[in-house]
Amino acid sequence: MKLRPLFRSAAFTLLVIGVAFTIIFPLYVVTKNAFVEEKEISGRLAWPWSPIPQTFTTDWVYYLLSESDLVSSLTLTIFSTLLSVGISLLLATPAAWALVRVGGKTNTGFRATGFILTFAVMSRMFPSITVGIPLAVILIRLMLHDTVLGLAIGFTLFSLPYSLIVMKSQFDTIPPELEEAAMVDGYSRFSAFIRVTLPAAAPGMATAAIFSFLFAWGELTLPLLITSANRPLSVMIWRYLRGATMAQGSAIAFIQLIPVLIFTYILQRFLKPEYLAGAFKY
Amino acid sequence: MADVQLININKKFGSVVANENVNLHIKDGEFFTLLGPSGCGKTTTLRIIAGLETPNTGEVYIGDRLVNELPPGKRNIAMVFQNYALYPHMTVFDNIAFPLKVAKLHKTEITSKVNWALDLLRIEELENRKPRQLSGGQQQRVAVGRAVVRQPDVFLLDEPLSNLDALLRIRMRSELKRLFRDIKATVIYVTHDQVEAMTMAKRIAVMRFGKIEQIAIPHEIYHRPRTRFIAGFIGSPPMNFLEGTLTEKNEKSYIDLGPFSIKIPPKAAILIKEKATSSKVIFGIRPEDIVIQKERPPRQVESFACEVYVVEPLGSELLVNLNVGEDIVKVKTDPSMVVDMGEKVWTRFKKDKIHIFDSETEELIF
Repeated sequence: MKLRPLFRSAAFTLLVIGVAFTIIFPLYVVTKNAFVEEKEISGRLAWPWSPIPQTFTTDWVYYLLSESDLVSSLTLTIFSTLLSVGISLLLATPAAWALVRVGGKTNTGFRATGFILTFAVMSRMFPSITVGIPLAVILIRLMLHDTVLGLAIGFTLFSLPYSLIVMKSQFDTIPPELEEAAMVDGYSRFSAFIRVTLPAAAPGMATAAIFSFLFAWGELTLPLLITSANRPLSVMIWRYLRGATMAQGSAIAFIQLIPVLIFTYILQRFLKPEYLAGAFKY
Repeated sequence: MADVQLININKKFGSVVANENVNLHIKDGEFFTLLGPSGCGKTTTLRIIAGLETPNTGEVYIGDRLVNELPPGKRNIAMVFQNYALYPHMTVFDNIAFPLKVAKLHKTEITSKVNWALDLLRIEELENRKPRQLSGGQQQRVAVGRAVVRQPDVFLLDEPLSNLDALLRIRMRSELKRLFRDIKATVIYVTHDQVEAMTMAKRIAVMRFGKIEQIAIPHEIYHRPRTRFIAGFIGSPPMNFLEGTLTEKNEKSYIDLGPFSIKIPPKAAILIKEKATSSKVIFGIRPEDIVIQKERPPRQVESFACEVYVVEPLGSELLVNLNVGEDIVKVKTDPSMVVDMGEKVWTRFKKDKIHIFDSETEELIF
């Protein structure tokens, strides 16, 4: 009789290992390929494939980082991504707060909340390729084509609705009493929001930031359409994979991987589910 | 400390009337309770005093200041919320120090005041914990600590005990009462629990449908409830009500309750004729004001035979349910009485404890 739970926990462990493997394995292969010699990727050492690197070289990474157009594309990607994360949070946070709070506790909230949220979800139904061309036209007219800001605006267009929905759910879990307590304790509504509500909303903001970051960082279609001379990293990888070797492609993928890991690592400490626990009693 | 005055407060949420012509004068140093069922507008009144809601009309005074236009933070009030609303990212110390920090007090002064509050509430050892590491009772103390530390003019408490378990609630009830007396605080306490209101308050305002039905000391609320609603809301079990009609026989006045008629004092009959909308009235009597016994009392004592429907022993007392016509009348009696379901007992009403309400307005007549 005891076999059954044992079997279940074993199955669950296997499943977790399987999922982790599926995620980590490609990342590992890319990282490995970025640091081994050509012969191990496509030469005589390529088969039989070994998970342990047999050779080591930093040539590929070094070569890419010495290429000026690649460095400028890395800078462009970092700045436009961070800018879009910033704009997205800066707009979505107050907007979501208003959707949840305006109208007061006793009313049913802002009347148009449902409509605005539906609209936000709907805007995510359009693939970037359908939005890219008109957006490119608009950006050219605004003289923002091929600029950091233009790219950031393009990314924000897609991450903003998502951030709005995440932040709305976050504010839904924070009782208005928290802000009211701070107001009774002497803060204005605005400082109560900044000093008390925002720290409590940190998990939601971190989630929205990570998703906005990942979208902007990895998006290919939109930058293809709205940039021409200054290309972000995603476009560069796509180009390299057509013309360059597997090793070069892996090296550039590795370079693209590092900032994502750093960014996610910094924000993950806010993603604690028990972050808000104990503040309220229901 | 200061007194609080509300003058003709009206507040509507859409078409829902939350406060209608609310007038209150809470005295300096008074423990005042707003009592009523959920949705009666008592919390709205409290939030209007706090400045978290704006009344549609009316004036709020704290001390001599008209505070209508002041934001909550400028009113020198402290509030304890039902869900405590502790700041989740701060330690207990920082939670209590928060209002002082906002007021930009000097650091040493903050420390000494917070320590005073921690000591007062006996939670010194918790000062470095986060709210999530506290039990419900401890969270409640921190919330009270955050309120007392700033020595406000008025304390506003919104059902502060309703989230505690029954035993802790009884303990905190007396503790809070003593605490606020010791610091000579003006307290406005919102609750739906009539026991809390009765035990803690110096005066009670009973609210219903946004209106104040009665403001009085607990003793008066209990013994002279102004309406049938209050009589039925206060006391456990609450007052018994029976429908009756005023009748007269041989120049004596009676209330005909169906199965039997009760003789009432002549004064009561005069009042009914003067004030009541009709001869139909509601007769009310509290369970402890009915005497039951097994032997028939002497003839000159007015008593009625009733059948026992059910007996509920409560340990310290015995709750006997009697069949009176279609109704059940609850009687509190001595636990030593031996009585069983279906038995017949002789029932007597304490004449000085009967209440008569108008059947239409439900207001107290006698």
